[in-house]
Amino acid sequence: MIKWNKREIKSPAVESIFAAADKGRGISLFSSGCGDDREYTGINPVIILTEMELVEGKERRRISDPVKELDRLVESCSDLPGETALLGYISYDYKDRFEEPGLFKKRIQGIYPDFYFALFEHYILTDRNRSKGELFTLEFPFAYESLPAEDLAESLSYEILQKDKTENGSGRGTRYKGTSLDRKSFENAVGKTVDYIRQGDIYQANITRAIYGETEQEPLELAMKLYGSNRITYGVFASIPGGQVISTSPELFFRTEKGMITASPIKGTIARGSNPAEDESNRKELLRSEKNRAELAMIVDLLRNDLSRVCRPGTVKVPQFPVLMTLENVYHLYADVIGELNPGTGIGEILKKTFPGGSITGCPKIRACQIIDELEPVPRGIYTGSFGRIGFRGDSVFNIMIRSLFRRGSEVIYNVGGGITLLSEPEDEFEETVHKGRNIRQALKMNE
Amino acid sequence: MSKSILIMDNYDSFTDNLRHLLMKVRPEYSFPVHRNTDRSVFDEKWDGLVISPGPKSPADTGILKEFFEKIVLPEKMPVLGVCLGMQFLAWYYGLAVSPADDARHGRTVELTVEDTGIFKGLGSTLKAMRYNSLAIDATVQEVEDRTALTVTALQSDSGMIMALKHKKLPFSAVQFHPESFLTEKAESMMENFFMDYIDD
Repeated sequence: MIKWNKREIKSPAVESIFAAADKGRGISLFSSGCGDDREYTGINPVIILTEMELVEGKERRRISDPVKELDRLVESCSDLPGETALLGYISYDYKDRFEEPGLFKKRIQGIYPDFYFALFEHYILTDRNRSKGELFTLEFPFAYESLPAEDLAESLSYEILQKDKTENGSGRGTRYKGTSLDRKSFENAVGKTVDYIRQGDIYQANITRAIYGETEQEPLELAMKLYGSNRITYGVFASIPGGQVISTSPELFFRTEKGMITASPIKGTIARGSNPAEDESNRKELLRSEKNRAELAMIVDLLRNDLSRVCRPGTVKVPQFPVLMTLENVYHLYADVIGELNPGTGIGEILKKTFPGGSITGCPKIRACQIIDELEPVPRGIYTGSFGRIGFRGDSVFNIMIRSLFRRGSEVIYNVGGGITLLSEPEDEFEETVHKGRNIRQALKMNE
Repeated sequence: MSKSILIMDNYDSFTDNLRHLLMKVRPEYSFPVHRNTDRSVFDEKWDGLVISPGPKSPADTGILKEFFEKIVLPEKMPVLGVCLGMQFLAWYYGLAVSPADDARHGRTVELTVEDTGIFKGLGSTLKAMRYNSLAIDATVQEVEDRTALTVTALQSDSGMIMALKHKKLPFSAVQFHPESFLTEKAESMMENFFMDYIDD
């Protein structure tokens, strides 16, 4: 039996949560003051499930079916409080394990595990304003290396000392080391994708490229700069075997709760107007845009399909299409896809049947993934995979790992891409990837 | 009586939408999905075949052609083809299927439909979802004159062939996507298909 206790903690700052995660091999799932989720931060992983093994404190055992082990682990935690959860991720490259053998190329980035979920010794729970928090500490019935709560308290009072509000942080920067597809090769790949669309292989595919740098900046410094630069609903700061991951993702993959599963794909964005008349005209333009509606309709049909694989027939619904999301700076179009899960469907089965998220593959998904394997010269790794939280009451939330920065030692990688359709212009698509990388590039202080 | 209808999946991403649509209309029937590489379909007894949409061209459909010749034609088994499924029927009966000028993905169009087959009683026009780059490269007259097929729906503005049926055999097929959430009256189409071809 795992025992647990709970303590109140005073308004932990986001940087101290990141510091605790950085020091304690933790995972923090956060937002920048938006979204409906509580923030979960796990510190000091005690039970770790990867594609290779199950680690329980000082014991480790090789495993053959990680998805089955995941369901078993969730089942075995059913007595734990709802404030604890497994936190972890599946890399995009893991997709071949969920399909017929041979359908996809075996791709291994080799920096981080491809499948990683952990039960932690400590959980810091915060509301989105971080005005107060709770600290849950688990006590395991086997030998493990404990991180005393006093050490954690020290991390939680951490502040970045060299904070410089006038300049962009420290004077340290990042040296550009290259990209997996330069302008010419990226435009070529876009051209080939359009050919595939024209000849009937696919309707759309997401083509992306990786950008490499060598940085002098500390992970916390980078995380704080990125935290301030974006609206983040499904953010991640994680210290995992291989290095650190910082995500500023705005995108949900799916959530489950009370036997229901929901996905909310977003397509189409327009800036808010500077005066009411302009604002109204921009709003109307977005709602009228046939291109955006078509792309949203496609991803809605794709997600309806993927949710249908785990839902009761006739229950998968799109209550409204499209829906306008009104944010401070932009309008987005989105739609909810909701279904009632087949009774007894575990999270392993859900991931197996729906992963990877359709918005970052294209459609039809299998052929789109094959084309991505062919046209993208390097594995995506965790990029476009999903980080999430698996609760023990059938509740879970998974994001889409876009707008993310990956760090190994001084080496940094980020990726940018876009959905290619029949009407895509290669030059515009490349420019779009440059634009999408702007926030991360600025945080790194790097010129591509 | 319960029936077992094979959904042959051409490695598509809308196959389970189609399965749910069919299950909603006939919850008492079973609709197993088998991919077009799965030879176990030859060992079982089926009351009908639904051909899923899918990538590429009608020739890239694995064992579908073999299944069609060895099982469907001799048994006069009812068939419903969707998108690539319709293109397969057209191609099998000798029509060309080529890249269309009017490729559309995720856009709805207005159809003009005949009051027959799956469209019986549904009025003369319908809104339907399109996801196709390829189309049948023939006129309505050419289809009539050169094949055993007949055209039952056209896209109103462009005349693209949107539905076919066989003149004698129980084959019905659509170019658009009845399983999309933006296609109108899809359940009625499926109801017609079952009543005409499958139900006792």
